[in-house]
Amino acid sequence: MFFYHLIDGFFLGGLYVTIAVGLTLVFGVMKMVNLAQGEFLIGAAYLAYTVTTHVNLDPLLSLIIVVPIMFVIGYAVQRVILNPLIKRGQETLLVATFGLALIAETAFALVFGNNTLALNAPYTLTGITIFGDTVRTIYVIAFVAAVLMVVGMYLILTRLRFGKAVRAAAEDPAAAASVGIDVPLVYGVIFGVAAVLSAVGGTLIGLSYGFGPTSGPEWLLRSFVVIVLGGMGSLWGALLGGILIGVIEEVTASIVGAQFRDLIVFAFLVLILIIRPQGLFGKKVSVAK
Amino acid sequence: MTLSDRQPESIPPESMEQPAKRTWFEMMRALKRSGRWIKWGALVLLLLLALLGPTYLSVFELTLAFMLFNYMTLAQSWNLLGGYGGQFSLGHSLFVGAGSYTVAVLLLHTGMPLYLTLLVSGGVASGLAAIAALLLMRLREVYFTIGSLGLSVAALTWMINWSYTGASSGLSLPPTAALDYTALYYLSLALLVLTMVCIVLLVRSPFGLRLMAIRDDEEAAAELGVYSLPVKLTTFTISAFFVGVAGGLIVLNNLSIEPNSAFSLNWVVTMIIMTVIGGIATSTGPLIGAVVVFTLQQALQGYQSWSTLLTGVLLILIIRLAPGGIWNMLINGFQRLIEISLKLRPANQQSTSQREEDTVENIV
Repeated sequence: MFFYHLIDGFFLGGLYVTIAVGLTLVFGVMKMVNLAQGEFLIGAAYLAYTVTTHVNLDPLLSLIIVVPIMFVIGYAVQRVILNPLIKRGQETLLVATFGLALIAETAFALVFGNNTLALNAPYTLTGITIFGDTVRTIYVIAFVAAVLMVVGMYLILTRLRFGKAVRAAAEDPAAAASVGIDVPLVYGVIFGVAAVLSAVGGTLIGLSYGFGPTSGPEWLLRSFVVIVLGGMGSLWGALLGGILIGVIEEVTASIVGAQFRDLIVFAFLVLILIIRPQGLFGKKVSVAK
Repeated sequence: MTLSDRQPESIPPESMEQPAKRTWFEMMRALKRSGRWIKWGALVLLLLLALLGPTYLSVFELTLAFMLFNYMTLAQSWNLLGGYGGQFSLGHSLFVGAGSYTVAVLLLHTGMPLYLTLLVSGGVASGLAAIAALLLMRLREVYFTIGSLGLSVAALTWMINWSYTGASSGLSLPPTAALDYTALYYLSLALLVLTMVCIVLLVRSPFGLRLMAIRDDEEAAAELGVYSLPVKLTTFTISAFFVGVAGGLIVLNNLSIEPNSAFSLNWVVTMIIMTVIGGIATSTGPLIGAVVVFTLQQALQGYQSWSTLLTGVLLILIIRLAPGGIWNMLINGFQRLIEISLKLRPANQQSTSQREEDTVENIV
């Protein structure tokens, strides 16, 4: 039995990775916490929903249409609203992204109503047997997507010229700007890419759970737990953190009861912050004396 | 002829002519000089108006005022920690819920007098804040923000499952807890005044200076011998105390309680919105922000989505274009107006006033 929960948690963790990668990327490059991450996820799910209701496409294939839209939204948000605020510090960015979340949440309710929606596909209700345990197919897909996303991002950041520019801008924006890197452009593209990664996560949420206009904060919190455990700003940390959180959640929930699922996860978040704020892979966090 | 003899003759014509000659410029100069008096005058007037509230407000309006005063208290308390202290807390919902539940549980299970339960609710919130501070205050900036959010959500999920407090269905207060509207109105007003006085005095004290020094540069403050932990801890507990009592008042008005609304993230969201829109780290800003947000909510009551949308847009606009909030915008605009009018003093005006002085001298 315990082994089965381990496997379940492992693949559930895959889903958690896909929702958190965008958040950790944005923090890693811009030192910015995007409080609208949940709304980016849910917004992508709504977009996929709109596409699939108009065109007869599989929700995952609808990403072909959703991804460019999300990139443009992310890029525009960063260039128009967030870039000019970066020099004013993290609090300002928190307020700004928080305002964005508020606007997005209301816009969802106005356009799509307050009902819970879900994306439908032939594989949402089926399972795959792995080591004698039946895992939801969608979690397996999410797990594969998670690994692809993290490895893909890692390759982009380490192998491409653009990736070098991103890492330079992340390390020291002023120095990067002085050697001719267009830092605002890099920031814009990174936020766009984060929105794209969130589009994958959001579509997977739509396929595996339902979503409504107010689902955002719930997923934001889950993403926080993942990236705090892995180390904020670390890609590999997000991968490992997501899987670990999935396993911890499944296993402890099987011991103390499913109604304590959220309590376990959020108490765990506070616990990590107290014991090891930099997470598993993060840079050392400065703490007050 | 002594001066005192002459005055009655010479002054009347002067004072008769003065109002006619009084120009924009002089008015502005007078305003600048008496700014302090105007401020105190306005404050006393507003307080009098508020104290006499029940004589001219309807029951419905009293309830609205009660809610507005609570919003103001909440915003100001958040402002102490988030604005003056620079600790962007997303966990203040925890203290609203803790205060509400303390009052509800005490009234249901003990014979404690109602007013005492309010005090205890503040104390419980403070106690929780002290624990939270010990756990999280080591963390800087966004880490603290995330930690406080995690704590508040963990508390919510705990309350949903805790059967002693009725789990997710919550509790209903005994009928003895029902206060009349006037009493609730005065309680919320008293809490608001207490909060304002405490926070304004605190911020202007050496303690407040230490707090703001830590916000601006923690290392530099530490070099100067300001230890951040005790200062932050005290600030957190004080901030939570007022929030807790406000939570207690809110449950006395609702007379029932359930975890999802008592610990709702909306509380802290509203506190932040009101503070930022009005003017973060100012003493008047949060009050103005509360008025703006509350008015917007009430005006668009049937269209709740639209009022949220508007506040969101307002928030982005303020943070992008006027980071000091509405209050700083007003103050700066007003000062600019005075300065411009002082500079615009026309040449002929100068000569007339010169002549005036001459004539006065001649007379004397």
